Amino acid sequence: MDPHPPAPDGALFARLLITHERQMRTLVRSMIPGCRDVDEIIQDASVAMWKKFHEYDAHRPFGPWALTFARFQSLAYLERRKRTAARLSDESLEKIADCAASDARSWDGRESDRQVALDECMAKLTPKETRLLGRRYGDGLTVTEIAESGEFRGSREALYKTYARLSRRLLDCVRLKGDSIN
Amino acid sequence: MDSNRKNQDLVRRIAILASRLEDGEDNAEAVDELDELIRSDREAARIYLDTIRIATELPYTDVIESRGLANELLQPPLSPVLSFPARFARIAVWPIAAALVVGVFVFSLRKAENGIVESRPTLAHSTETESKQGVPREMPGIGSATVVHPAKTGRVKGGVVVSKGSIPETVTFNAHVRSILSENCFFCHGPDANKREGELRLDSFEDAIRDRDGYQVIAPGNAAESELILRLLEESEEDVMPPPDSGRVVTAEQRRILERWIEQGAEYEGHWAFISPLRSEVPKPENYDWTRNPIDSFILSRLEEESIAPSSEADRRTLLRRLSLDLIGLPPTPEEIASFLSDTFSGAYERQVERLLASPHFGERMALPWLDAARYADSNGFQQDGDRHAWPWRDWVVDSMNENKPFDQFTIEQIAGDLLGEPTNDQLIATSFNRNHMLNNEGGAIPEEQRNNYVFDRVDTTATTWLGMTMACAQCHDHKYDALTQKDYYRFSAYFNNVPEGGRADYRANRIMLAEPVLELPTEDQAKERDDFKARIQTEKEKLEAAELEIAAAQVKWEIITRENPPKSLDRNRFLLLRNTVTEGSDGTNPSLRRYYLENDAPEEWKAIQKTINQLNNQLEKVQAGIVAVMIMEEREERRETFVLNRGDYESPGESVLPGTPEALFDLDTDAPSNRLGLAEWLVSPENPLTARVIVNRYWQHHFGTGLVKTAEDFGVQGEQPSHPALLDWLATEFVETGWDMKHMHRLMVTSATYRQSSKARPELVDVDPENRLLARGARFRLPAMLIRDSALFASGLLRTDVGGRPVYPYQPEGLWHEFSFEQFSYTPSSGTDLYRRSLYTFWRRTIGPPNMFDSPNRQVCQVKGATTNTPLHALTTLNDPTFVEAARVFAERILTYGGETDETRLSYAFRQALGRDPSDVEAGALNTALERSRSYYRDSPDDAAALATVGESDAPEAIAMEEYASYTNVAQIIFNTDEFLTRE
Repeated sequence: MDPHPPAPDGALFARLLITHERQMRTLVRSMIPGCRDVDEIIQDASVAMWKKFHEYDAHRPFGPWALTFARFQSLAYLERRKRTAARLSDESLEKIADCAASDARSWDGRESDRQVALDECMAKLTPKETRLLGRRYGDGLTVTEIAESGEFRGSREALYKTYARLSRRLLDCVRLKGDSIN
Repeated sequence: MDSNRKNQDLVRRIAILASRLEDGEDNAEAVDELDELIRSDREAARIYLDTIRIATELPYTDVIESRGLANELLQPPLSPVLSFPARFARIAVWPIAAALVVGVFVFSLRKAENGIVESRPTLAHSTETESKQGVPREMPGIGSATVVHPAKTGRVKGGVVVSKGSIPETVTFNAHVRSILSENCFFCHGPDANKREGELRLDSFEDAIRDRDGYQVIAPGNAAESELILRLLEESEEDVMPPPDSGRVVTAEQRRILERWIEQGAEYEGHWAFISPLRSEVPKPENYDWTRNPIDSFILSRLEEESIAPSSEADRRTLLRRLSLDLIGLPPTPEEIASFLSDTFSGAYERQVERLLASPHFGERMALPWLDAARYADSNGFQQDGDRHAWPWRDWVVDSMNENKPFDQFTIEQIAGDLLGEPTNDQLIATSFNRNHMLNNEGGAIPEEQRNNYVFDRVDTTATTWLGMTMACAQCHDHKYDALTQKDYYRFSAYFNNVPEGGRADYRANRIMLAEPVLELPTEDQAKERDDFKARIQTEKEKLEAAELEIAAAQVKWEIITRENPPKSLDRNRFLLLRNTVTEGSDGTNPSLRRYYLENDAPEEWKAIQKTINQLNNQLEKVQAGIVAVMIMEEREERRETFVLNRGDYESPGESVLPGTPEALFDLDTDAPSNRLGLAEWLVSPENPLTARVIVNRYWQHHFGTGLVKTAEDFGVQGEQPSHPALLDWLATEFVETGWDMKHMHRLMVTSATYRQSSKARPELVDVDPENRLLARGARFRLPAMLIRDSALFASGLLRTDVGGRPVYPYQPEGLWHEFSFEQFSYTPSSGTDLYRRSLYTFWRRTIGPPNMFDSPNRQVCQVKGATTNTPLHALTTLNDPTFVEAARVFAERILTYGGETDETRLSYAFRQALGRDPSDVEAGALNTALERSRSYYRDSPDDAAALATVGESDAPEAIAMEEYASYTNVAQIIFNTDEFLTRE
């Protein structure tokens, strides 16, 4: 009935972007380990997405669509700094990105479930473990800095192992909850 | 097992590598190892991705976030180079999102104007439009419903704004401590005796301070000696509280609050909402001149604590639109706006308030939230979903609101109208409140189980509606958080357990399926007709009875012949009956066989009589189905015994109980009748701590978007604390002291300076008070879908405005009911003006509600808080639903007929009619462009124009060129879909 094409819906876009931003961030961080420019890449990807938003088919999940932009911007970033840093092989990058896209498809509409699951898993940790995670992920200290602060016993290597163990526990817990949600 | 172990090692190795890489260490080596793993192991990519995902999401978890906040507030930074990458990352996305949103809002107009789609919108344009228009518009994108809030920013925690300096000087139990204990401790150390651990009740002062072989859980005045605090600090996983596997965490900030409270004497208080409100002293804010009534004094002094100035008053046009939508649910007409604008005498606004309070539409608007609470619907729900006549009760509500029936009387009539001396029909109809529950008449439904469900539903609805309590929890066990025992629940349920009902739909007429007790309300004609048919049926039956011997003899002969040679039309049951007559012998009186015989094979004389009887019966049933019959409450003479039901199972009765109110609340009068009347009087007793607060809170929610207690449905321990406790108590006592004068309360709220503020968002407040709980500006929210429909019909001139009556059937997609009713019902739309009644009168089928009324409660159970989302589907509906399209084209006809001769005057006319103001230059330009585009489109596609003209029942005007008509219809559709039309600002 209305002869005009619909205007791109900025509110919708903002909402979708915010819902999926962490997935994009995860992909960028995975593809470029230790990247210090994640924010920049995400911003570039967001702007590109907005320019193309009229092409986005609202019947399809937004996550995979968004991740193609994150993937592309990450590859472009790696291309720009080809010489300066070690990087993962193309084969690995592809595996990672495909894996992220398939996750995004299966979580469509339930993006926040994971965060809820993680919240619940976090609540099971002891105060000391919470403190450990807080120093690293809340305060943003590196493991070396934490080891040097002397707040926790143990060497840097031991701390790496502690964090790895915590990470594994959280991962198991989230996966378990994810299954029960599915 | 082995593969599992291997997997765990892999997970750990990847986590270590990822960790090192994140820290920028061992770069090349770690990357190579990781790459090797990902390429060689199928699982590795996913494990790696999940590991990074956890690292990405961790900073946003409640635990880390609240910890970070506590650090910011309480502790000096650990090292000067502290970085907050996660926090920064979150903030960084916001400017992009906000800029995009702002851009789109502005550009939706600009685009139409010059036909260019801008790709990089900037913030600068918003100020441009703002200054161009005389009326300052709300800054789009900030604070409006279209943007998802960063929920955890600002000093609003759990919806209540936390005062500056996160740990208050004086810590009190109700304001600070209870929520911490309730959230983290009461589940195991609370009111529920069956779940209590360690013989400790933290909700009881006596138990918490008692000596336990040399130590105390709480040692008033001495936090360091209190086991409560020591256990929070405990490092051992076995002894720390709350236990790690409970999923609960007390933050450092919360612990410090507990410490301070104990140091200050650990004084307990009863739950605030269970203590009767005292008349609060009205505070004296500094800027006293701003206030118009006591509400403002409370609001302003709170704002002054935060050094925030209130907003200026909204412009008169916006104000009248707001007021009109809130009080009568319809926008003002251009004439009403003009009259208000030209009223320069003092009291102009108050005169508008009085006009609207006196409008018959006031009751229609105010009935809506009450209908949601009362789970009002026109059908029974469940699979069969038969119809019911519930609308006389709905009309009773509308009338009561219009009459300004005092709320105590309004309550008593609904809860116990039947128990008043010589109740009027209206008072009986009022009791239908407690019969609005669903009725389950499915094949497998067990009547006694259903009857119990109806009793439970009455308890839950009454408790939520009047007391703001979630009583349902206590149906199966003592309430975990509120001092409400399972026994309390069943004592309360005993009030509703004494209805002479059987759990079946035992009153039926055609599609109507009701359950006794029922009040029939035949019109005089119907009563006469019914008697008449009954008498005529009786006469016919007597004719047959006179010939009984002959008929019986003939039937025996017929049976003998027929069973040898049964006709095809004979059904299985009758065939079996016939066969039995062989063995048992027959006297020719079996009624089922008699019926068949008389209808099919008897001599003409008898057949004719039976035919007449059948016809008369059909007619009688039609009359009967037309008679309005309302389900009402009645009391059995002999009291049905009520038992505590173990786990809420009706087959597991325990202790027998008598009617009574919850013990933790104030006592019933000892001489109060032990029935619903006693309950009703208790509900509206001035001593009742809850009812007045709960009701004024919902009025507040109606006018300000959010209640003073945000959890309007839960005033219990788990509910939110009021944002302005003293104001809530002042309003509650005011309500009681003025004789429960509903209109007085609405008047107070809408005439306050607080209400009259502009709703324009203030960027400086977004962080401090994102939910606008301090009310430094007016509330702004999307109109409920029902009111959007009414507004469109109203603007077009289609809306039929008479009050009350049977429900109507406006347009809805074909086949919808059919699909949802196992193909039993079909939906026949009304015709004529019934299509254009207010949404309140739309027939409400419980299994499939009206599809164009988005976000409406499902009317299956009590609901006292509406939801507002703006799903894109709603926009598609307001653009394409026949109701809206027809309204648009009827509006177009109006524009073309009364809007003058030029496009300019016509567009202005359209804008004024729908939005009450002239369009700005930008807006007029945009509409003009749209109009031209439509014209050129319809010039090329005349068939589309013709098709558009046939949507809905109204005739298209003959005198207007189709192309012009269709183009203006498009314009009308655009106006009906502007933010301003859909929003109450």
